[in-house]
Amino acid sequence: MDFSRWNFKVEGEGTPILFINGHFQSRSSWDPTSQDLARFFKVVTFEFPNQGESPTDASFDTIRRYAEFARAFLDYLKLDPGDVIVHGYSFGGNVVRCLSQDLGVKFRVIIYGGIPSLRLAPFQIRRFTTWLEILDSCGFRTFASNVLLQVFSPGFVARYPHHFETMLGEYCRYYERRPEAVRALILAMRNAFQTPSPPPERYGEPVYVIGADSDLLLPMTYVEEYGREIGALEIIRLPGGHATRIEQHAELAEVIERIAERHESWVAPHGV
Amino acid sequence: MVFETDDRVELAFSEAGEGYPVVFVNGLGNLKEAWADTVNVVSRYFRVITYNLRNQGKQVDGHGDRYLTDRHVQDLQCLVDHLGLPAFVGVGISTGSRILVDFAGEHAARVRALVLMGASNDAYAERYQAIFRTWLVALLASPPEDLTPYAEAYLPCIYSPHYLVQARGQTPKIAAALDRTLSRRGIAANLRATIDSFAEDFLRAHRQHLVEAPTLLLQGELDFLTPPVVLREASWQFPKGTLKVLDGSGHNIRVERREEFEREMLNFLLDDLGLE
Repeated sequence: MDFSRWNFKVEGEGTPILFINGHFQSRSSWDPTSQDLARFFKVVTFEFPNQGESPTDASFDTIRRYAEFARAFLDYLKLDPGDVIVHGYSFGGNVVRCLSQDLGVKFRVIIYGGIPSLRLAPFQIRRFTTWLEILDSCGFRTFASNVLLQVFSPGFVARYPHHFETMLGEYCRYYERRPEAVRALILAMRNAFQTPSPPPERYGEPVYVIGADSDLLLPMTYVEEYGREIGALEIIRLPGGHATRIEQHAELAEVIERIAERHESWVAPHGV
Repeated sequence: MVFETDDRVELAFSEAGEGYPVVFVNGLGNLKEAWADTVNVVSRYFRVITYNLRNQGKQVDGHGDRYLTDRHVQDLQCLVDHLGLPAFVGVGISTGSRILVDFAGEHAARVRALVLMGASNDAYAERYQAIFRTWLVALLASPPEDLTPYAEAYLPCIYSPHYLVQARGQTPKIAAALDRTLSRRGIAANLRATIDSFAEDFLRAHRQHLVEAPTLLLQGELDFLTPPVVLREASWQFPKGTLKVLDGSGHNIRVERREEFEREMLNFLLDDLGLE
């Protein structure tokens, strides 16, 4: 894979923090958070195939493909995962989970955002099947509206209708002409939840879990359950909806900064 | 049985039991028969009346497609006038709750008490409009004799994750049942009425009143349309209101928590209000 022309950004110096996108997220959507953190850390943001401005590749229809891509990207940047604090949000959280549990990648710290246990599989499969049905039957704009109304908290949609429309317009710009990219992203998530009886997750590094109290896509109660299941060091509740990087970008940056500072002197057991 | 509205539309209604009148007001997607199990329980204590809103049913009987929800309020007035009820208890779900709140604003003396499931907060009007527009588009995009896309669009909004998992094979059956019992034109007419009735000028004219009647508000913990925290912000409108949140339930309490809803309602009417 040639990453030299890929859509990514590295800003700042210090402990590396890697952000891994949610489902239909573009690289630039991290900017408010990453610019804040780049004052003190080296912040890396990027896109997967099928996301944002990056090329379509319908073969990327499993989480494992995206995880392998992320691993290759880290190799390209010559970043040792053991030095990296990674924040995987929603779809990105599932990529991190795959990196950690299936590909054996050890990070310095893992910060999950908006991610449930694999035991929530029936609900997640149902959700993604619905998304595919709406995408196929009702057109992209209706699909995107449906998703964004779940992604944003009621208060955000009601109080910032123009911002909601802007996001909808952005989604249409990136994806309306390439439904196969959207399809691949959705299939990847649906496939991720089709493992019968997933084994217990085990982590050698510190793990944190972030949820939002008005998250309609993944209610906080499920995030809390997952945090307890995996022995998270802390379960953090932010106000707002699923899209914390938009609704609560300053608070999200503060949380990540606090976690990063707590573990800056901790050295990962390399090779473990 | 039918009653006639002031614009000569005939709407079906049913009655059961004796005693103080309790009128059940439908949500958007259900007919009066959907209350059947609850009617069986409540009619032991009260005179229960159920009816269909205009344009609910296979026959399109709305005399036009563009009206607002105040038309439903007038229809309800026509029903209670037809039955000669000086006052009644109103029980509603979703749109039905909205109709009852508006009725209580215009005819306070006729509303003895309210039990509202899935009530809304007009401060979130823009969001409701966005959601219902999505449903309308999905409805219009659904192929002939197949309302599955419409069902897929609205079901996640009204049911909890747990219920959706249980009902995961049911979407085509739900879609088929919708197609059998409702007309697309009728669903569309009522969706448009709901969307248009969240416009700022309509809200200003019709919905800035207090509900003086004792009110029991039942809201699902996982109500996607109006999460409990959102409804609490509208508590100013219900000075004699009590909000109870039903753990784990979605918007459609009538289906997901029927027995709990019936129990709360009867406790409220019989014990709290002493109605018989």
